[in-house]
Amino acid sequence: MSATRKSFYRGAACVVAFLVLWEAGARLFLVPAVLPAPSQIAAELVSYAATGKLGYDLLMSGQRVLVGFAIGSLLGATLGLLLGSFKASQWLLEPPLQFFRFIPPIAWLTPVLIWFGIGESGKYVLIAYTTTFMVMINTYAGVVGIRQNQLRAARCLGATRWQAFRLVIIPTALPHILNGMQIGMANSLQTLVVAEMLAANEGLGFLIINSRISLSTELAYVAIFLLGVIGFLADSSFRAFAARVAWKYKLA
Amino acid sequence: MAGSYIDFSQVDFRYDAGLGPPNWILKGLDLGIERGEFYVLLGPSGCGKTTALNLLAGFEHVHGGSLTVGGRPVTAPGVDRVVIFQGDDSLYGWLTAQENVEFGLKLAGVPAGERRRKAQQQLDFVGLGKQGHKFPSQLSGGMKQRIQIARALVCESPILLMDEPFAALDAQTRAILQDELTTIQQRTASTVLFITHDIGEAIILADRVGIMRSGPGSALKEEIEIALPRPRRRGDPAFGALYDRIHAILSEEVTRVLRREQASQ
Repeated sequence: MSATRKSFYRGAACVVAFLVLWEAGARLFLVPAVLPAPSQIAAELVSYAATGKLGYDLLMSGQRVLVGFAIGSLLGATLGLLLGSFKASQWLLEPPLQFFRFIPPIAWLTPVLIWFGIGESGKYVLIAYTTTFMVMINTYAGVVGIRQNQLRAARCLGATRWQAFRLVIIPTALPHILNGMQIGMANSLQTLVVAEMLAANEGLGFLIINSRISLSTELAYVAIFLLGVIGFLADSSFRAFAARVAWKYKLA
Repeated sequence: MAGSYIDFSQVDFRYDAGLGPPNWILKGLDLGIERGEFYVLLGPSGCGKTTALNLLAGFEHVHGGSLTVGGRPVTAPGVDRVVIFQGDDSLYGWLTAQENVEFGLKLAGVPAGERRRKAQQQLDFVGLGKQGHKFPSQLSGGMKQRIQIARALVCESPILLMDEPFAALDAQTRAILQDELTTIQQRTASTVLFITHDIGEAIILADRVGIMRSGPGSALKEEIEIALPRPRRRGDPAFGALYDRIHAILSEEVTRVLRREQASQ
């Protein structure tokens, strides 16, 4: 049995054992409103999915994250590269950055709702903002940490500033950009859930907050479970993508 | 000294140290290197050898005096003065050895086919003809240093600037590369400024050796012509005599550094 297989079976056994304990504990000691058993959550998942509403929630949450994440990654990488490359942008942008980085993105909910309305664009903005920050800070660190001799070598081999940027700075920053995107992805899910709890009529965050009102606790667990699954799938597929596309550009 | 191909004339260089007094590295450095000459700069650590090379490379700028190449002041790095760096950290880890060697040609817009052919030639020349597909992380320190040399040579630059390029290598590899470098330099007739700590290396390679005073505010202390026929051998009695002479000059400076360091403790 190969090592990866072995660790897969071990992981699976661990999950099954956990579920069995949970199921037993919930059935023996608790009422469903406090902590439903996994079987009850699964049943709720199936019956809610059958109404078609779950698919819609997933679709809305998914597209919010994807659009926001894509915009944020692009913006963050661009800003990080600029910020790291130009001395002027450093003193221009760094002070405000050091201030804004401590404000949780969701704190902007009220102004964002006023500026962009309660439609989709407000959620895109919040998630994009979350991602932008993580990607930008990581990219910036990557550019600033570049080895001086690599830049000097390029310059004395005849590189113009633009060539040095394209052929040395961007490849050096790439693993840092991907790293920032990976963290940004996780943070995006957080922002998504809170934004949907406070200002949406569909999506997984809405499902959680709404289940409290309708006292259907199982539904909250369905959403929580799905968030875990989505996060896990997004992260592992992103890793696989990065390993496939950017294997040459390891973190030094 | 005016009129040399590479001409340092009364060059000053300092690092500003915040509110404190500026830290003078070079003060009144006069140094002339002729076209096609192999010039080796020796000196105690921290004496400003690397600074002199960085100035010539265009990475740093003089604060006083003038620095010209072929009569034109040095203002920026250029492909006419390619640098071979001390460590191997200037190679690009995401490019193969071959692509690293092609880098300068790519910048100059040389078509891919010609690029590949020329790079292969240089790789063959430094004895790594079959290693071109490997990444730097898969090569030994000596191999990486040779890739760096190939990357510089492929540009056919008239001036090569080498900052202790063999310092991190074992003695055997070092001796082999020194011989190769002599051959390369004689074949290409390029002008070389080579920095080292190693007196033996200086005598093996140089047409002329410049010995620098200890810093701060360093300049040239003495120059010695090395008129030995090539290829040079360390066993040669004339080699020994030169070695002793340079050693005596250099140890005077090293002692001075040690004494100053002790005094400041």
